[in-house]
Amino acid sequence: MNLSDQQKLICEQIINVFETGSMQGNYAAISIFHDGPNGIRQVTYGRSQTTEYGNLEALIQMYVDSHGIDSEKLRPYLPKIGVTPLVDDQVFQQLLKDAGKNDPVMRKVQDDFFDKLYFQPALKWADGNGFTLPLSALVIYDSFIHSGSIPDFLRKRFAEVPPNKGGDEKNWISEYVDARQNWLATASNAALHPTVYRTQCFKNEISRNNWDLTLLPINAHGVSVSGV
Amino acid sequence: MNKSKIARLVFKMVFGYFLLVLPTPETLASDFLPERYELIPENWTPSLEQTRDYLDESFKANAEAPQQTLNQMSKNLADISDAQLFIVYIRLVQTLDARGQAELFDEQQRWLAERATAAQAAVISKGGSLAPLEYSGAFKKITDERLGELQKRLQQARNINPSK
Repeated sequence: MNLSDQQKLICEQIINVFETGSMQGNYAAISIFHDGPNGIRQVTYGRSQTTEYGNLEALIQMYVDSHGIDSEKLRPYLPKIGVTPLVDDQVFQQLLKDAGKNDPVMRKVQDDFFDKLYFQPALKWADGNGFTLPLSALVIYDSFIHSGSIPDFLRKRFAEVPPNKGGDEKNWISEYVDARQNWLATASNAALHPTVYRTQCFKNEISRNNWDLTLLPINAHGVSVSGV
Repeated sequence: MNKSKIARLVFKMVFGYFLLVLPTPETLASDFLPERYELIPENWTPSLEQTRDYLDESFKANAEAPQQTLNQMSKNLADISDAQLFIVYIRLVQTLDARGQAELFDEQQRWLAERATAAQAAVISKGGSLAPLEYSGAFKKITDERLGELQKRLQQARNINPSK
């Protein structure tokens, strides 16, 4: 799938709005959740939120290797991340916040890192299944960011097959967005219900026939996105 | 050595022995300890109800907030439930004898492990930004159920012994 720089930027800006409320994203965001191994608390960090027991070590390794402002201060933490709990280490967390807020190197590293972690796998999945349209890329990328993948159980909820198996791309995306919206809106965990603002945005663009993402701006949850 | 000297020596040895084996102050104190310790001063009654209601209302009012905010608010609500459960657990412990305390401890330890497993199992969006919201929602639901259960047991214990 070939996306122009502007189409890719539109995808990133829309996802940033969904995730953080701003097109730029929040590179310094830190949260503590109970979702580590065996329910232990763990640090979650960055624009697209990577975790202490997940990919945080790889992100910090990239940053250290890129010689950012706080690289040398963060280097001693590399052997500890994912091994020794850092959830109560205020110095470590402040370093992460400072780097995310003040260091362009950290922002560039995060852009590259999350591109590799989410955007490229999403495009690979799209290519592998025969999708070619920019709006399809946005829907698929959003699913990778929000759910980590295109969940199998959602694919079983509609009949259309992907383009590489003879299906119609626009029908597949429309039906997938509907299935996803229905799942989020009716989940037993009511906290998921409001997150349908994501799928509603895609439904709006499908209605506008904006498959090339050229009808701008796009209203992403109240924020006008134009890819500039 | 005459008999009276021997008698005095024997008396001193026996008396000295009793002095040596006289119970230490700690041993004496333990003889008078109650079966149960009062863990919480009677009029110390922390309440998280208002905080919980406030967070609950904030969550509903900001239901369409960005994902990171939703995740954080959901985590805060789950934390409040967990803290409420902790308070009720301690109050319930205080109503029990030593054996009951040990049994409740084991029961709670098992339940904590089960909660972690069940909350993890509720996460469909593994690796996605929705995962913390799914986890916190399940964590809170399971915790609230346990909270209700322990509150009921605490009430029963207080009905039996109103001083607790």
